[in-house]
Amino acid sequence: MIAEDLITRVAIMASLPVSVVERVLHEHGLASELTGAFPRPVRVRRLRIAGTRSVAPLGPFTSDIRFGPGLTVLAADNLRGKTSVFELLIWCLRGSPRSGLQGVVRSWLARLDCDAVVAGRHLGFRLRMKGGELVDGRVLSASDGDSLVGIDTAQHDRGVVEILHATSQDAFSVMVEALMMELLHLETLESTSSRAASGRATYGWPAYFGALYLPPGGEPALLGDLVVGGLAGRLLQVFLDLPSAALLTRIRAARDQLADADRIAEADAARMRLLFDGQRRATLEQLEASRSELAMLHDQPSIAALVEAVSTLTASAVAADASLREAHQTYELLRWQRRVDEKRLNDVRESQAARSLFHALDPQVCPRCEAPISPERRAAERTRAICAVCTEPTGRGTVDPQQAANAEREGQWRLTTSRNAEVAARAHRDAIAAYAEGRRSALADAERALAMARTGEAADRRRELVNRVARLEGAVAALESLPVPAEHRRDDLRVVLDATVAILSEEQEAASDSLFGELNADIAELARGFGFRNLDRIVVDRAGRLQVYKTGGPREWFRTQSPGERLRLRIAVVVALLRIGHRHGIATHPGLLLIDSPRSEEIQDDDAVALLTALERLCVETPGLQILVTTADEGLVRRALTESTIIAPAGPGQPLW
Amino acid sequence: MHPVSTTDVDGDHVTSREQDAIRILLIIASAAVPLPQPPNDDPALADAVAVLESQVRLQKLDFWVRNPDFFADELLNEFEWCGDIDLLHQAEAILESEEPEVRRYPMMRFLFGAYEPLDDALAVLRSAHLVVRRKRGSADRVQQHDYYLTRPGRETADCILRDAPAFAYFVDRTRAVAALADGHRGTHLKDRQYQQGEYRDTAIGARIATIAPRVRARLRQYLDRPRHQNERPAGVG
Repeated sequence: MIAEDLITRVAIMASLPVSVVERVLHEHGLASELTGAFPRPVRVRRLRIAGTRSVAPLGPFTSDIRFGPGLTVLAADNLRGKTSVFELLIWCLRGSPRSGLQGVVRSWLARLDCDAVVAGRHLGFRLRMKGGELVDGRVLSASDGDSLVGIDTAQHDRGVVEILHATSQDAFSVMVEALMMELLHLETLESTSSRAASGRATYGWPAYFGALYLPPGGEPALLGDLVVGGLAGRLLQVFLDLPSAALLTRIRAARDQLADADRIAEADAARMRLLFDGQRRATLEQLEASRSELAMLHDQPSIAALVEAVSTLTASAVAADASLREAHQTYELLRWQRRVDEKRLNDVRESQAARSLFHALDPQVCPRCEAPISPERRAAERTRAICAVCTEPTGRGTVDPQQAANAEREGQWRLTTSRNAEVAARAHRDAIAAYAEGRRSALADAERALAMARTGEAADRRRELVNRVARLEGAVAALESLPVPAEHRRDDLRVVLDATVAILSEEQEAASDSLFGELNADIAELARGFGFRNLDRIVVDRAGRLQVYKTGGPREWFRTQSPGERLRLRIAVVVALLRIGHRHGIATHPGLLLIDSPRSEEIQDDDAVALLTALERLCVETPGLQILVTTADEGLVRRALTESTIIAPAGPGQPLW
Repeated sequence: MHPVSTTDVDGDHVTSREQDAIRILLIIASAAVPLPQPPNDDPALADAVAVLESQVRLQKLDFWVRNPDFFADELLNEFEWCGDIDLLHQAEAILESEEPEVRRYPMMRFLFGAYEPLDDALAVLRSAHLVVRRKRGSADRVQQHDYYLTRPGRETADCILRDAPAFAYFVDRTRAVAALADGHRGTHLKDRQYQQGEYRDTAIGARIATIAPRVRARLRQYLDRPRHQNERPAGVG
């Protein structure tokens, strides 16, 4: 699908102008990736190795290896440098060595030249080493391969230009990666990852390169040398050129990241809303308080009225105080009177009781000399009112009960009267006291108001309040009009991303059904051709999971297959990808395949012969396919192969380079 | 307005001989120490059942009965001394009421302290053979008077308890005073009375002024302070 088409469809789906969609995709660095298919063949032509060997044969060496266009077999005994050739090719083409390259071998190297054709361009990789480390790395570009032979630097007269130059391993690998990705129209593979700081994990050229150098049979990954989340599936999708697979991956990751950002932004916005709410409420309260105070100040009467009020209240407060003093004195007087009456009543009762008591007792002795009182005297007192003690006429000695009762009644009456009077006086005094208190406090209020009015305090306060109310009203208005933090452009972006994902997914869905159908059939056919026995069918899905159905058997998985079977399946997958690419004219696998020692992958001689023969035939049949294979059995390959390049040491037991 | 003392109610009033006699009888009946047997040398004491020793003691007890403000003050002293919270409550009950005003019968201060001639009241009691006074000591120098309560005296006191509601107040008060004074001899009691400033400074022959306002203020101090201080007041032990 071409970019313009996609943008138009996204614009329609998102109900946005095309210009907005273009702007959004452009601003987020996604527009340039909306590309169609590009051819991405990679072909190696020559590898030149120079350095000083520290084992036999000791000394300086220079070795030049030329690879054929189709199948090239590197045949040498074990430990004679077959695998090293692959590793050195990788160092050049990938830009960085794999950890598989032996340290001792690295230390021999002084220079490494590799000429290759990448997407139609002739490139010369020129690496200079010291102590096993790259010290100078360049990539030259020429119009034809022959121009690069023997050339180390740019030669403009021969049409050779230097397209990158680095003096450290790190810089060289970064530059090579960028170059290869650009030339091969590959996009960075991305996936969301909680482990990466950016939230996204990215995979570049080294990850793609893993699909060129097939891992040993025992490795679990179908494609690539990294077993990370869905990488095999992503490589498969890119190489099968499911429409904009990498773009879809990137947009999905961007959308996921956007969703995360939105969540965070929403949490921030919620916090802000809470903060604004609190501020608004507090401001409203202050505003309300200021307004009501202001309203009270507006109700203040004039100074003349205040003076009048103070003078009236002063007069009434003074009068009230005088009344209170009077009421208090009255109360005290009446209370005193009541107490006197109470005491007198007690006294009357006690004295009467005492007199009654003692007069009921007969005198026994003279209180003075203690001489007994005779019965005759006591009788004389009773009959003739002659005192039994002193013999004087008693006269008032007897108690008149009527008189005593009268006296007590009078005392009782007086007490009741004075008690009632006291109660009334107290109530009166309390009422007057409350009234006086009210007058005093009203006077104090009036005096304060007058004092404020006189000093202009009220006017100042009113001005201050007017200003304050205005300020608070402004603050409230500002707080109420404050927008909830949100970015409208982001909404556009979300809509565009959603639409893009939807369209691309749909495209991919439709395309993948047919493409994967073809792929499954091709893989099964190829694997059978490589000697995979009893294989009924293969089902590989977009996640890179490969299911194996053997004749009459249950479903099996790639990772449960034997190493030899896995090797066959990997080769079959890559070749099938290439064939489908050619068939449909879409970009696909670069077409370079490095296969290390199929013999060691538990492949029987007969099978190995069958595999090599099949690979040779494939290379002949399949344009753009270059396969490099290592083997320890030179005789076998020389017997089996007719159309291939065989590279072998000069003599038995000699190193390959 | 008339100058009115709201604390000294009817200060000039004098109680009757019979009232005094009843009050003295009740004090002696409450405070006298029971005799196991009557003294055998005096026929007049043949039916004596208890004795109150010392005229000073009798007069001090009478002083407290007639002056509730001083009695309340003494209750507070005792409370401060021994920390018995009941004493504080007793003082509070007196001072919160009008007793200091309504039940006050001021006394003339005489040479020996709070002194009121008791002879009239004692004559009434002696004539009816309720109380018999006896002198003790050498012929020329009287050291002490003893007041013997006779059996008719005890019976009359009990009769007043039962049948004379007018004297209910005195019955209760004499008991309370006797309880406070229990164990204190007359001279010691007098010392305690002299601790009260108003009483000490009163001119001889003048009536003793009320101390009710001061004692009420003192009570407030005790009531207002934190409870735990009242539970264990300073001066204990």
